[in-house]
Amino acid sequence: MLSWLPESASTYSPDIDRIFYLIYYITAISCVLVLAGLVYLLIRYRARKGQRAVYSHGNTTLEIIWTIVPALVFVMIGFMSRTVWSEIRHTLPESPVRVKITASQFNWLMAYPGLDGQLGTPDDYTQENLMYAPVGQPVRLLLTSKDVIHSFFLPNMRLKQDAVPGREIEVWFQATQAGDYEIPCAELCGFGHSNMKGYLRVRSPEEFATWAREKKAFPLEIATP
Amino acid sequence: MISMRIRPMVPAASLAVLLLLGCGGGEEKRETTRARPVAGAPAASGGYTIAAVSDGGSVTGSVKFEGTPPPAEKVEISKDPEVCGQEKILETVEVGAGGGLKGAVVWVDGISKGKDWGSIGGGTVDQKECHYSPYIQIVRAGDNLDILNSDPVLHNIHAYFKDTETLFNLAQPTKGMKTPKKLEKTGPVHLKCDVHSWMSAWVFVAGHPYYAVTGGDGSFSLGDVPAGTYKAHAWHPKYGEKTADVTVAAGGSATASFTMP
Repeated sequence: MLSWLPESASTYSPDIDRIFYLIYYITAISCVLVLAGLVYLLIRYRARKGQRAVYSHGNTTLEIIWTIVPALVFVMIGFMSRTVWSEIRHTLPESPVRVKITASQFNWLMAYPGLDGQLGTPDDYTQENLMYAPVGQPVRLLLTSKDVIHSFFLPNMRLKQDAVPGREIEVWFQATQAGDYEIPCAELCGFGHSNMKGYLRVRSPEEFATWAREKKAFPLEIATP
Repeated sequence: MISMRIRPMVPAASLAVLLLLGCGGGEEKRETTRARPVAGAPAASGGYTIAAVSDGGSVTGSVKFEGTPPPAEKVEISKDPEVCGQEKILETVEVGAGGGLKGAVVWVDGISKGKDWGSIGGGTVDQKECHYSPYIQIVRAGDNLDILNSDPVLHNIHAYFKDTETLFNLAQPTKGMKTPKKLEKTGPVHLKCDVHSWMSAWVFVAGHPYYAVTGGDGSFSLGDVPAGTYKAHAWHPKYGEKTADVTVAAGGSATASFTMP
């Protein structure tokens, strides 16, 4: 039913989609019930000639039910999402594939550690608006911004994180299939916000290694599948 | 309970409070980086007077490049390839036969009265196929630089004075837009596009007309220079600034030569 969602391409995107579907169906059913109830009441208690208005002082039992039931639903959703959030945000898997991404008006600058394996050294390889990643291996991203708040958004990986000036925020993803995926900016950052789009190229470990060797983006031991 | 006498005044009093709160923070605060002074750069605009030059001399010379020019830099296009193309060759260091360096700005300091401005006045920079044209030009201080977008994509011109302080930041989303910007402070202004980061151009804002841009052979010539001793400057976007002392005799010719880097 939700075929309009972007293609799911990471290890944790099915978990996020599961909670998304649950919330979607709960809210859809609630919406239908509320609207149906509203229409029923509009018709049932419409003004009619010679009929006095009904004065209702409420129904305590009903109010208790429609307070407690939604509250329980919210608590349930909270507990379910807690485990997913913990998996995605409270754990950082070890990985030699690290990329620093500096957002600025209106481009994404990707920096790879280079042959010495250290980010922030003169041999870092940089490329604008294009990131390479291997399939089946965690990729750790260090996000920051040069000017205003941007938001790094990988819809297919179900990853979104603000890039904040003055902070370095680490997130991760692991792609499950090769492909080309968009990286839009998800935080209004100025006139060129809608133009601020990069691309993620997920490739097989062999193709990724070939690229890494050619660009000297990673140490040779990583650039060998 | 509000008394009947005070009650009518409540809406007016509330409105007054809201207006005061809204207006109190209206002063815009912009942080500007103070530009580091460039050695020998002319002072702020103003102070030049046009006067007849009798027995004017000239300053001629050349800007040469020493060594092997760097190879042309090629960038892979990452934005709007349907307009900008797939790759761009960035402005190179152009060295002509005999080692002349093209595109260096040469000027002479310390002239407060002299010839008419001649061809130096306002300027135009065009953005076409995600490239600024011309790459380097001289504009008279106080005149306009007309910024034209000839592309059907957004360009965001970000001008930096002496490559540090933001002079203006202007979005031009549609083709055909033309925006004049008055340039007052003398010195180099770097134009960059925030959307297409490879785009780069320079505008040198002049406080007097004794400016020139070197041609393909690196040569320059400044005429009608009043007699006197001056400091000549040569500036290149990649190699910075060099200076030389020149003494111009009445009706005579002085030579200034520069070597970069």
